[in-house]
Amino acid sequence: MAASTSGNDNPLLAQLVVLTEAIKSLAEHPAAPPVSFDASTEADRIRQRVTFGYQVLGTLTGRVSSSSGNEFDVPIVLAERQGGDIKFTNLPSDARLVELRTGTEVEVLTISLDGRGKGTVTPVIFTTPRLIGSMVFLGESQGPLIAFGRRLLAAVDRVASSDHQLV
Amino acid sequence: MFLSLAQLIEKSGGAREQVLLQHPVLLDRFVEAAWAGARFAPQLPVGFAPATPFLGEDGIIDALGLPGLVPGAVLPPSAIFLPEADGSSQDPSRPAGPGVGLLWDHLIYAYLIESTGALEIFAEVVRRLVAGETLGSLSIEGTRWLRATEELFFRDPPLFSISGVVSEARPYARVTRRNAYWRMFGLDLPHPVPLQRDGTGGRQEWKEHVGLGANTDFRAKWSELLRQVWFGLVNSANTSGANPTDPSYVSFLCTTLRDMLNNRRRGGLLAREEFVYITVMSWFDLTLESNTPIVKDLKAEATSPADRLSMIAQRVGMAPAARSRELFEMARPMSSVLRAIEVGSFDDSIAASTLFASDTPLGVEMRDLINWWQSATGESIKEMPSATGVPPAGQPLRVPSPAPAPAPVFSRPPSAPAPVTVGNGHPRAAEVR
Repeated sequence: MAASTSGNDNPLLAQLVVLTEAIKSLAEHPAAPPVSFDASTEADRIRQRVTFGYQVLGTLTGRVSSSSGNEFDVPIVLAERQGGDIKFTNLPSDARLVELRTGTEVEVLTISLDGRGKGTVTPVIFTTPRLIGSMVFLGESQGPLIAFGRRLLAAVDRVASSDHQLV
Repeated sequence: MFLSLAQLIEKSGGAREQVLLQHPVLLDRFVEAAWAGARFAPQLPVGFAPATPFLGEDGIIDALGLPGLVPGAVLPPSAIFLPEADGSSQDPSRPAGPGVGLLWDHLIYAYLIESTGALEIFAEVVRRLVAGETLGSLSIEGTRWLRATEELFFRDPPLFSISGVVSEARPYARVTRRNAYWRMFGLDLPHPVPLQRDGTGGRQEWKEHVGLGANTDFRAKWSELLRQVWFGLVNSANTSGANPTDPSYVSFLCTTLRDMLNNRRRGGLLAREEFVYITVMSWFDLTLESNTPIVKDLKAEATSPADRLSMIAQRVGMAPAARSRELFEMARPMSSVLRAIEVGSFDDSIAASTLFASDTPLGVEMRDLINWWQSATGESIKEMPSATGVPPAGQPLRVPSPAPAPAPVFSRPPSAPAPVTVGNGHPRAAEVR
């Protein structure tokens, strides 16, 4: 009797292998559940941000997510200044707002979506000569926090917009 | 930094081990560009007002970077050729997009990886490979790794490079790394400096040169933080009975650790050293991460970095740290947590309670960290106060003492305070048995 171990030949065995792998994976790498806070209170909102900030830190340092999660694969939105506007590319489809921040100064703007992952905002506080320390992209004003963007340097950015490689 | 580069290559469809096959001059350019590119990384913690500047001084990146060079913001802006999905490579002269710079791990990552003994073991591997044939011959890929490893880490760094932290003033890389670990964590490596490579005959004068600028109570504060987080984790689902969890105390501990670490970073102190040591250790970490060509050449294929290291060590008559598995496992999570503490992510009690929110990635990592730290050090973190209904006597009475004052400048450095000593006279994170 020829007993095949091929998953194609024996669906039950294939399912068993998948199940075994899943259990092994769970045992070795307890999956971090997705961050899905109901940010209904201020405390929830803070915890949501702390968790998001930790995930961003892992993304920036090149950490690898667990085998069953994507905790350190926070989307990165590309941003550059064009005149008084800031143009975004690589925007996640559910990003509606952007929070620009330097220190304690914050400006929240609605993104004018141009489609295909692009969008624009026209800051009032963070105009061209101002440094933007960080950008956080949100679905709604209370969250979820979806993506982040670069630090936009006021002076250097002029050069960066036409920058060349080191080589 | 090489783990970040591996991640970038993997995300563009290549294999992580391609990093190990690059020409050393390209890798050196990547390192230089990675330092400069950090100016485009967002201020930390993202989503909050920064409590302290990153690396102690925001201007340190520009101050030590090569003037006039503005790297593209999307790393890698050097001549590392990333494979495209179709097998072609990106044109390295193409202007980069307006992306985000990378950051590097905390110095604790370098300490933990070096504590495994990986660097000393690979130093012996390299020595044997270039001195004779006792380890046999290498594949072409293994030869590339050997060339890059020897040129990047076992010879003088290129002139005026960001990685040039060896000079007449600090001639021994092994000693200067220990100096940094001692200052930041009050911890020495579990293995001694090879006598022919420390230049002081084992007298450890470098500890005296540090003066008061060493965080000798780091380990006690860190262990206490883990203990308090453990209380929080085990009681997170409590609906009745005593709950010794105190988010406010956890936040005090985080603030104390933040102050302690940032005291060593005033004005950008140790920023460059941290960057360079992280880079060095990430190379060996990446080498052991999988069955890379050099691991195969050394016939050390195994299922974990610790096992690979152990097998390689056997080839050269050495032994890694007994708890190297735990050290490898906790290096990156502990680095992330310490960096988050350092930038003030947990400075209030609500934020600190995230550390024991078991349904978040952070809570999961804290639970793992407690297990690894306990196992690596032999220090029992999970000892709970008596569960008899009486108030938890194990809880400390006072909040943590503030960080020590900055070391005086221009004064004769006094002797370093005597730390808690273990084993060969050095406090250490990992037990070596």
